Amino acid sequence: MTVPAFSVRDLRVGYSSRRGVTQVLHGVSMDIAPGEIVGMVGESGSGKSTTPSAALGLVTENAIVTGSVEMAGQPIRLGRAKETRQDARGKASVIFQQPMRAFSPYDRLDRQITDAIMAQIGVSRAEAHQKALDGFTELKLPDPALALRKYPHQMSGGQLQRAMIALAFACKPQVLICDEPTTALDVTVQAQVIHMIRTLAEERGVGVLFITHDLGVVAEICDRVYVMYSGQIVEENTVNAVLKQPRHRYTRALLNSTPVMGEKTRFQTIPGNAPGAGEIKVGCPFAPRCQATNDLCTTEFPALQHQAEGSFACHNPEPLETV
Amino acid sequence: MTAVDTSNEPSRWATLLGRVAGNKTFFVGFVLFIIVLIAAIFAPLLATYDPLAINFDDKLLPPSLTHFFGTDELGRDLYSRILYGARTSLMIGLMVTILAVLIGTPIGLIAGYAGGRFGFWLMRFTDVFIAFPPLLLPIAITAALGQGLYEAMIALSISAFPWYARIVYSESQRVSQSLYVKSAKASGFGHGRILFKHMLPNCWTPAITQASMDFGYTILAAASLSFIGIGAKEPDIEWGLMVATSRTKFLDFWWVAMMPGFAILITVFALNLLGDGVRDLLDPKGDGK
Amino acid sequence: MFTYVLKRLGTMVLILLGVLVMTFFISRVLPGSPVEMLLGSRPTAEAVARVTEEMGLDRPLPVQFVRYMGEVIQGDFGNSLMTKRPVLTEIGERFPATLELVLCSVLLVLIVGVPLGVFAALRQNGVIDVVARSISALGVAVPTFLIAMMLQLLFAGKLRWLPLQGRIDDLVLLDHEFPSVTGLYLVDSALAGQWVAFQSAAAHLAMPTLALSLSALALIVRITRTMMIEALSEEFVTTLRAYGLSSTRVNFRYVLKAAMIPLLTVVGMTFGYLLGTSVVAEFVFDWPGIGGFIVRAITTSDFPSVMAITMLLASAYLIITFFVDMLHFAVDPRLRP
Repeated sequence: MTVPAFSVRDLRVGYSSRRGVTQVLHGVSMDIAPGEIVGMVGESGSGKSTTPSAALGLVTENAIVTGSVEMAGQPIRLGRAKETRQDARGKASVIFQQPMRAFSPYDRLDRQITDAIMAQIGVSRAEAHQKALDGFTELKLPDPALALRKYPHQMSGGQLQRAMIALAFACKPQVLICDEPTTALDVTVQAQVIHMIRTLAEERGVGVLFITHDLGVVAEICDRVYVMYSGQIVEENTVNAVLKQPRHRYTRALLNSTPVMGEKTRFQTIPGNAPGAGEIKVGCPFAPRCQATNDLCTTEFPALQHQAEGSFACHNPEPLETV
Repeated sequence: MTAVDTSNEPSRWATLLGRVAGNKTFFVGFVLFIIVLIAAIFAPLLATYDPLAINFDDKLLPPSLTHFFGTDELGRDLYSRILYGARTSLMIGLMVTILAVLIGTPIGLIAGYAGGRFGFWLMRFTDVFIAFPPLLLPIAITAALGQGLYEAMIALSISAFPWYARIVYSESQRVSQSLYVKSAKASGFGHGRILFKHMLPNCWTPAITQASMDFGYTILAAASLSFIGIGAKEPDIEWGLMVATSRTKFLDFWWVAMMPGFAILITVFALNLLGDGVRDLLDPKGDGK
Repeated sequence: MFTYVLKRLGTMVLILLGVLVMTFFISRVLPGSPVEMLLGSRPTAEAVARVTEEMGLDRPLPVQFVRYMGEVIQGDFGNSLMTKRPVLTEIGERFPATLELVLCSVLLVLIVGVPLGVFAALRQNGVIDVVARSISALGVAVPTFLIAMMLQLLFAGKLRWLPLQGRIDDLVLLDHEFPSVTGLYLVDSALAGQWVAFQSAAAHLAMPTLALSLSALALIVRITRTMMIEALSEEFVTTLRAYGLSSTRVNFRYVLKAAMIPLLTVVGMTFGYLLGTSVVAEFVFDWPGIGGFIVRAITTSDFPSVMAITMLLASAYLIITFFVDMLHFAVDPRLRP
C-alpha cells in the first residue's frame, strides 16, 4: 500500500465573524494515490474549493480549520494558514481557474514564475529560470524563451494555462490541485489542457485533485470522483461507477442535468437552490430538493456508508441494478 | 418548501433607522448635523445677542459666561453670529447643490438617452468645466458677475453642475440600453414620458449620492470664497467672512478666528460623514466618483 | 498606441479651445459691461468709446472671439489694472513662487501620504489604519485657510519658531544674495551655497506647504489605501501565496505595483487640486505667487488679470493631466501591445 500523495481526514472549516462561527465544511476525508487523478464535483458553495484552500493554507485569517492533512506522508499543520503554507511548500502545486488573473498582469512571466519556483523548491534564480524554460518547452509553448519574457496579456488564455501547468510541474510536487482549470478556456483548448495535465501527472506519479462542476471533463480524465454537496462528501467511487450507477440522489440529479450529445432528452435542472452554510440543521442537506426522500431523510443526518467499492451518504440511495 | 413568514419582518423605516444607528460614523455625522441644523433653524431663539449689534466697548472679549464664544473686533457676540452663520452656510450648501443637480441631471439624462454624438459632445463640454482647478472657475465667474453671496452661489452652481451631468449621463447611457427602456420605446411611449417615468427613477441615485457627499464641500468652497473676499460681504453673516475679518487681530485674540473656523470644520465634517453614510446606504458597492 | 496619443492630444486641444471659449464668455458675455470690467471702475465716456473701438467690442461675438484667440496665442492678455504692466509679465514673475510651493506640497503629500495609505491597507483596523482614516476624514473637512491660520497661531504667534508670512526674510535676501537659476529659492540658494538664505527660505516654506498639503494629503491617504486594498484582493495574490512567496515579498514586490499604477492619475489630479487651493494658502501667507495675485486682482477689480490667470492655470492643469496620461504608457505593462 503506497503512501497516498494527498490524504485528508475529517477536515472541517468554519469562518468566524461578529455573528459567530459559520461552518462551511463538515468533515471531509479523502485519499489520492500518486499518479491518480481524482475529480471533485459540486455546485458553488459545495465546499469543493474550500477543501483544497484549507489544505493549502489559502483561506482567510478568520478561518478555523480542524482535522488532519498529509502530503506524501508528511503531516501538514492546520492551526494557522501561514504554517499550513509553510508545511505544504514544495509538496503541492496549484493551477487556478482564470490564468489571465492568476498571474500578475504587471510583471513578466519569467519574473513571477522564477520567483514562485524559487520559493517552492529553494533553487537559485538561474536554476529556476532553466526549469521554467524546460517546462515551457515541454508544454509546447511556441518560442519558449521569448514566451517567458512576455506579459500575461500578450498570451492567449490557453497558452497562459499551459504556462501555469509548466510552473506547477516545475516545482516537482507530490500533489497537484487543479481548481476548475478549464472553465475559462475555449472548448477547443480545454481538451488539450486536461490531457497535458493527465499525461504529466501519470508520468511523474503526481496525485491530482481535479475540481470542476463539469461531469464531462471528469469522465475524460479522472480515475475516481468525489461528489460534494453543502460542505460534505455525498458520494465517492470510480468514475465508471459514479457515471453508470450513482447511488446518491444528488449525483443522479447532477447526471440528469448534464446534457449529453446525441441524446434528445429533456433538459432537467435540479429545482431549488443549494442551502447556505448553516441553513439545514437537521437531516440530509439535500432533502428539500430530493425527489426520493423517506422519513429518515428529514430527521437524521446521513453518514457516509462505505461499501466494497465507493461510499455514499444517503438514507434512500438508488438501488443497484442487478444485470 | 414552506412559505416565508413575513408577518414579523420589521417595517422599512425601522430597518432604515436600525441601519442608521448601527453605522457609527453615520450616526455621529447625523447627530452633529442635527445640532447645526437646530442652530440654523432656531438661531433667533438661541442667540443671546443681536448678531449685528456693534459695541466697541465690548470688543475682543474672550469666551465667558456672558459671551460664550467671546466677541469680535467690533464687539459683536460670536456665539450669536455663529448661530446665524449656520443659516447662511446651510442655505448656500442646499441651494447650490439643488441647483447643480437640477441643471445637471436633465442634461445628463437626455444626453445618455439620445446617445451617440450627443454623449460625446456632452463629455467634451463637461471636460472643459472639469479642466479648471477647484475654486478658479467660481472666482472668475464671481469676478464677472460682481461680488456677493448670490453671485457666489450662482458661480458655484455653474461650476458644479457638469459633474452631475456626467454622473447621470453614464447611468443614463446604461439604463437606456436596458430591456426595460427598450420595451417602453417599442410600446410607443413618447420620449418625454420614457425619460421621466422610466429613466429618471433609475438614474437619479448616483446624483443624490454625489450631492450628499458634495454638500459639505460646497460649504467649504463658499467659506473659502468669502474668506478671500468674494462671496459674502458685510453685513452678511458667514463663517468664512468672519474668519477673514479676524485676520488682523487673531494672533492675540485667537477665538475671533477659531470659533467660526471650527464651526466650518464641524459642519463640513458632519456633512461628510452623513454623505458617506448615504452612499453606503444607497450604493454599498460604491463605484461613484 | 500612437493613434491613442494623437487622439488624446486632439482632445486636449479641443478642451483647451473650450477653456478659451469659456473664459471669453465669462469676460465678454457674462458681465453687465465688459468694457468697464476691462477698464476699471467709472471710466470716462470717451475712454469707453475708445476702448470699444480699439478692442472691437462692438463687433459681433464670433469676430471678437477670433480676435481674442489671436491675442491669447500671442501672449497678449492685456494689462493689469493694478500694476499697469502686461499681465503675462506679472504672472511670469510670480510663477516660480507658486511652483515652488506646489512642488513642495506634492512631495510632502506623496512622501507621507502614500506610505501611510499603503500601511493602513496592510494592517487594516490597526493603529496606522485608524490614524490614516482619521486624517482622511478630518483633513477634507478643514478649510485650508483655517489650518493655515492655526499654524500661524501656533508656530508664529505662540512659539515663534517660524515666520508669519512671506517667502524669505528681506534682510537675509539683501545680505545673502544668490543668483536666480530655477526661480526656486530652495534650489537656487543651495546651489549658491548660501545656507542662511536656504534656511530662511525653508522656514518660510514650512507652514504654507503644510497648510496647502493637508486636504490633498487626506485624499491621497484614503485613495492609496483603497487602491492597495483592491490590489490585495486580486487573484494573483493567491497564486503567489500558494507558491510559497512570503507576504512581505508579495505585498511590496507585486501588490504595490498594482496599486501604484492607478495612483498615477490621482497624482495628476492632486496637482490640479493644489493649484486651485494655492489661491487661499498664498493669500493667508502673503506668498508672492500667482494665487495671491489673483486674490488681490479680484479685490481691486483687476478683471484682465483674473481672467488671464484662470485661463493659464486651467491650461497648465490640462497639460499636466496629458503628461500624466502619457506616463501611463511607460509605467503600465498592460498597455504594451
